Amino acid sequence: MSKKTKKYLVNSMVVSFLIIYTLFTLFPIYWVFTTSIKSSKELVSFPPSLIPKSISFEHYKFVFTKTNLLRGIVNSLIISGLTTFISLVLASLAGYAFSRFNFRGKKVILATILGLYLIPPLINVIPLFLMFNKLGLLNSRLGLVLAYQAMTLPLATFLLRNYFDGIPVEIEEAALMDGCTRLEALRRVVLPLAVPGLSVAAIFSFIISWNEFVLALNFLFSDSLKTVQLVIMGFVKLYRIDWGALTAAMVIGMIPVLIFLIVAQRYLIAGLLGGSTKY
Amino acid sequence: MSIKKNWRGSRSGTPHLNKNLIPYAFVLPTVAVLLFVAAFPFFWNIWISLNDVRTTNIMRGYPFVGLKNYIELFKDPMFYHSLHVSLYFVLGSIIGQFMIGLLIALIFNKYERLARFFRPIFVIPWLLSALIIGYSWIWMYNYNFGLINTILRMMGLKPIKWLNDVKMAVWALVIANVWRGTPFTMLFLESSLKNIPKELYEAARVDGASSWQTFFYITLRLLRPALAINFILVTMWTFNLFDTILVMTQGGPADATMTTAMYMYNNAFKYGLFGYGAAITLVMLVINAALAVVYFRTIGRENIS
Repeated sequence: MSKKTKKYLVNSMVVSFLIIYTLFTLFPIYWVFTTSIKSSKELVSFPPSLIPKSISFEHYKFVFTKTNLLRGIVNSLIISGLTTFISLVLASLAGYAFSRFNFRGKKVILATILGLYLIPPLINVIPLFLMFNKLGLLNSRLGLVLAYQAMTLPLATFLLRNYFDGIPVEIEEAALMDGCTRLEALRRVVLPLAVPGLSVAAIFSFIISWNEFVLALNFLFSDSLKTVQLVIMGFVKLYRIDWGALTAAMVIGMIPVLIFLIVAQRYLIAGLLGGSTKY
Repeated sequence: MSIKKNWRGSRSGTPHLNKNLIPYAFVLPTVAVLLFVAAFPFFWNIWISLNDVRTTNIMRGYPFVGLKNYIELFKDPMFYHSLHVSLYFVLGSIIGQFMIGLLIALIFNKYERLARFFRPIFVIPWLLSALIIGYSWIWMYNYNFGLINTILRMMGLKPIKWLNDVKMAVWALVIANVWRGTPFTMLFLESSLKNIPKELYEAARVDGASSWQTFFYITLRLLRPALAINFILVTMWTFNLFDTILVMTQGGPADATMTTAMYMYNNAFKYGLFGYGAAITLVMLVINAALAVVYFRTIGRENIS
C-alpha cells in the first residue's frame, strides 16, 4: 500500500468514526424533537416513523396553554437569574482578591474553596435538607438559590480569578493613583475589561441552576414555586405519559442551553475546562 | 486615623491596616456563603449519621444512637447488592467513556479543522439537564416507540426490553451515562494533549520511532497525570451519580439498577431514614477517597526517564 492510499484510508476512517459518533450524540435529541412535532394521530401509529410525516405544533400549544410550563419557566428564570447574580457579585470580589493580593492564608482559603467544590452534592443533600428545615428555608426560592451557591460560586470564583490574572495590573494602578478605592477600581476599570470572563461564569452558573432538579424536587413543595425541570417531571407522574407534551416541554427546557452553545461555544468549551484543569 | 475610615480606604495613600484587611473583606462574603451551604452541612452530616433521624421525628428531636446506623449498614444485604451494581455501572461507564473520549481527543488534537466542526456537537450532552437526559433515553429505549427498537426491527432483529429487563437495565444506564459523560473526558484529555511539547514528537521521529511506539512511550506516558485526575473525577461522579437513575429506573426493575448512590437517596428521601442515609454517604465518601489514593499511586506517578 502506498503512503498516499494509507493516509486516505486513515482519514476516511477518522471521518466516518466522527460521523457515527455524531449520530450517537444527536439521535436522542433528534428522537425527542421529531416526537414533539408529530401529530397526536401519528404518535400512536405503529411502527413509529423515523422522519415525521406531518408537522404539528399542537403539543407546544398544549404545554403553553394547558399546563404550568410557562410558570415553571418564569420560576426557573428567577431562581437561575438570582443564583447567577449573587455568584457573580461575590466571585468578582473574591476572584479579584485572589488575583491581585498576597495575604496570609490565601492558599489555604483557595484550597478550601476547591475542596468544597469537589464535595459530591450527594453528600450534602441530607444535612442541607435538615438545616433548611430548621431555618425555614425549605419551600423558598431564597433557600434554593443559597443551596445552588455551593455549586456555582466556587466555579465562578476560579473562572474569574483566572480571567483577572490576564488583565494587566498597570491599568488599574493608574486608577488607584488617581485616588480610586480598590472597590472603585474593580467596578470601573477591571470589570468592564472582564466582560468575557464574567459572561462565561454567568453562563455556567445559569446552566447549572437551570438544569438542577434533585434539590429543587426535595426542597420545593408548592406548585407555584416549581422550576421548569419539576414541571417537566410532573408530566410523567400522570397515569399515562403523554409523550407528545413531554417531548415538547423537554425541547423547550433544552433551548437556553442550546442558545448558549451557539452564541458562546468557544468560551463555553474553554470554561468547561477552566473549571477543572487549571487548579 | 480611625479604623472605620481606613476600612473604606482613604483617598490619599493607603494606610497599613486598610491594606492588610482589604483582601479579607473581598473574600469574606464568598467564604461565609460557602461555609454556610457547603462546609457546615458536610460536617453536620457526620453528626446526623450518629443519630436516628427520620421523617417522623425530625420535628420532635431525634435519639443519639452512636454507630448503630453503620452497624446496620454493614449487615444490610441490599447495601452489598448496591455496591455490586455500582461496580458494574462505574466500570462500564469508565471503560466506554475513556475509550471513546481518548480516541476523539487524539483525533481532535491532530485534525484541528475537524475538531472545530465536531466539538460543539459532541459537547451538547454534557450541558443538558439530567432530567431531560433521563427522559430522552427512556424514550429511546421505549419498547414499541423507541428509536433503538425501531431500528432493530427495521434490520429484522428482535427488539430488546432495555430498562425493563433485569439483565439489560444496568447496561442501558451505562450507555446513557457514556453518552452524557464522554464530552468531559474528551475535552479534558484534548487540552492535556495540547500541553505535550511538540519537540518530544520530533525527537522521537528523528530517532526512528514508529507511530505506535510514539503513542505508548510519549503520548500515553505524558498523559498519565491527566488520565489519573480524569479517572478520579469520573469515578467519583459516576459512583455518586443518581440523578439520571432516579429519573430512568429509580433502582428497578427488581433492584437491578440500585447503585449505592441510588440506595442512599431512596433511604433518605423515599423511606425518610435520614440518619441511615447519612451513614451511607459517609461510607461512600471513604470509598471515594480510597479510590483517589489508589489511582494516584498507580496511574498518576510521573515516571519519565
